[in-house]
Amino acid sequence: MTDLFFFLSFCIYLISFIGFGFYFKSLKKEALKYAQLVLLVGFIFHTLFWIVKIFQILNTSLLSFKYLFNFLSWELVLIYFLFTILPIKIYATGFFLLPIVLILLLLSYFFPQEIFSPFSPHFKSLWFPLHAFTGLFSHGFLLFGTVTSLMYILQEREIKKKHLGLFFRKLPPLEYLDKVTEKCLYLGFIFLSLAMISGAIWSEIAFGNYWRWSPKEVITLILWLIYAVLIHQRVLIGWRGKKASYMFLLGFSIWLISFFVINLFSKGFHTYGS
Amino acid sequence: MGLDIVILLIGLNHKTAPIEIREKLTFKNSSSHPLEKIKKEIYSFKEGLFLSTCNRVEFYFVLDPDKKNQFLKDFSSFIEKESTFKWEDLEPYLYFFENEKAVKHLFEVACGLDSMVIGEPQILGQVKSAYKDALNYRTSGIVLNRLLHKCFFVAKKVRTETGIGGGAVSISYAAFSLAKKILGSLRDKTILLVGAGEMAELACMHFVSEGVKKVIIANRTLSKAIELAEKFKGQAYSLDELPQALIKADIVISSTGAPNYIITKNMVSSILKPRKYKPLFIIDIAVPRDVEPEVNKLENVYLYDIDDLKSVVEENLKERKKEALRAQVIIETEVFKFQKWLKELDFYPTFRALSEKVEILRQNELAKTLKKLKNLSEEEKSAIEILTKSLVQKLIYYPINFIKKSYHEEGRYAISLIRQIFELDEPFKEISDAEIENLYPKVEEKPQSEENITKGTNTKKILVQ
Repeated sequence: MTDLFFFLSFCIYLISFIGFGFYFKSLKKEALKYAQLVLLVGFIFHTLFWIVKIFQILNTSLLSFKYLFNFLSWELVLIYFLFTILPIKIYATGFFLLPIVLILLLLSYFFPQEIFSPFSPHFKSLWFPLHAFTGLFSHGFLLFGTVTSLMYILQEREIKKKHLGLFFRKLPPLEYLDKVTEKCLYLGFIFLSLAMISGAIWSEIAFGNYWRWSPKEVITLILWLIYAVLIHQRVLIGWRGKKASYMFLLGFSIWLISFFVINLFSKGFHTYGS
Repeated sequence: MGLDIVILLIGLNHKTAPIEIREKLTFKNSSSHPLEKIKKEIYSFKEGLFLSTCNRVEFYFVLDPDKKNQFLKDFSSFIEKESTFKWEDLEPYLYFFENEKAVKHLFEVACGLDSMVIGEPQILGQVKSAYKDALNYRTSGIVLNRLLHKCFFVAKKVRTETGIGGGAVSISYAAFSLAKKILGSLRDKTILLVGAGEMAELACMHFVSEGVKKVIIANRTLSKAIELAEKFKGQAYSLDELPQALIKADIVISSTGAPNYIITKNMVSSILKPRKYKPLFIIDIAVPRDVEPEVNKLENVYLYDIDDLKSVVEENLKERKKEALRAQVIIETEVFKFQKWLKELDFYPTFRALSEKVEILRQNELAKTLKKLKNLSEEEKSAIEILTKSLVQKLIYYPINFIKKSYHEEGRYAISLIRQIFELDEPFKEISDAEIENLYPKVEEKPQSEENITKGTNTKKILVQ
């Protein structure tokens, strides 16, 4: 069943991506409408996949690392729809976002099943799912903000250099991209803070101490600090636009290290590389 | 089966004639529309259309081929009478296109390919109103009706399928679209005019008409600034207060006559912090320039001077020229289709198309019936075959006889009517039973319907008789 839902959502996302490509090329409203409709259908299948999957995980108390990719891709599509409800229209984002969604799904498909979460026996405590979900959502907003930051950098470069080429007409206005990045920044920060707090409480309950200075904890703290600096600068001084976008890219590269290198290759508490 | 009509175009445009010639042929001063006059004076044409814009004057006529020489003579004397030109003097500026070329030219005009600014959208409206005039003066007939409808269709198709109308091609629109790409919605933004000149006012009008609400004006002489501020319901500043004004603004249009830079890099970089690095779009349309070019290097500040905007416009025009090639392909296929329609607007092709259509209908129905009646002998089958054939032939006897009889009297009108009634120019479509049922009035609902039925049979009887 889950295989079928997985397969369907992947294929439908792929079709939707082609639709977004059409929209990007022609800027036709109909292309966008159909692409979004198809994306919604794919998202429904993807949600069904996760409903079934969560029951499976709860039953077996086993969480394989590969499903984290899958959950992230689900989140990204969800966030896309959340942002399309806003009056700020940034539809072209779909064209840049869906490749990431598809890559994450492919990764989750080809990743070996055997890498399980080290915390599998402790699922029963309510703090663990809270920690996991908030953490994953902070990742989702970070990824989404990275995509809009990237689009911002592309658009700003053309306008600044006065060479209005490929992207000028097709990408959303700079102000809109900046606003969405800003929202991703705040939401990502809130979720990351929640994840750290809930993680600490749960760690206290399960293992008897709040903080252990494991590599993952350290790098997450760095990420949290980057967020904090960015928000501070934004609110007080007005850091925005290009500077904020580059900071987001920096945050993204730290996330890459935390998610791939530390999770998989460093041994010890909190990682999957045992 | 030769064509017995000619579509003739006589015209001149911005490529063939200077404005001195064009302006004398617009007929703007004359009391009545040229079509009205032509209709009264010249009898040797069947249909006519007159299109006049600031860049072109064109006459389209549908004529009998044998009357062409007579018509040209009439037309030249008409022009000589109406304008001060001698026909011989005017002739070198004119172009004459016939049939295919005339049709193609009209399509190109309507798509804006022939305009001074390629792809400009106003021309389609002008063609539409020219057609409306022709309808008013009853000089449009079956050929021009079809031609113009086709022409509107082509123009729409070209506009949606190619990028011919894409990209800003005027300085002020280029500035406006840039502002939108930087600032998003302009409704809650503030525009600052530096210099209260006419140029700034014009550019500002464009932004105000697109929704910008707040206007600030900074000028050397404060009284002039106040005057303009009243017009836009804005605030006025003197030039010394420029930094304060810059802090409030999102868009700046600068157009003073000052010999040196008014907005310097130092000035702008000092206001970045109080502005909280909000994006600032500066348009410098003054020559010599008002704004130091280095300003563009500052964070979240975008400076475009008049040359930058010009090169944006040129880039867009180049893009439109490329798209024009794609538009040509669409136009050529549509010209071909129109020519085909014109050729078939004759008795024999219509006759053939009609018999083919009913034959398809007959065979489809026959196949359906024979499928149900499986136990028929060969003899019975051929009887049904003959029955259906003669039924169908007798039914189409009337329309065919009608066009044959009235062919010479009512000309193409009858043919065009028959083609429309039997949908001969559209792809074949099976008629469902439900569609047929829907055509008739519902029998059960109204008691009077019985009368209708008897009436219906009566008319049928009359038809058969």
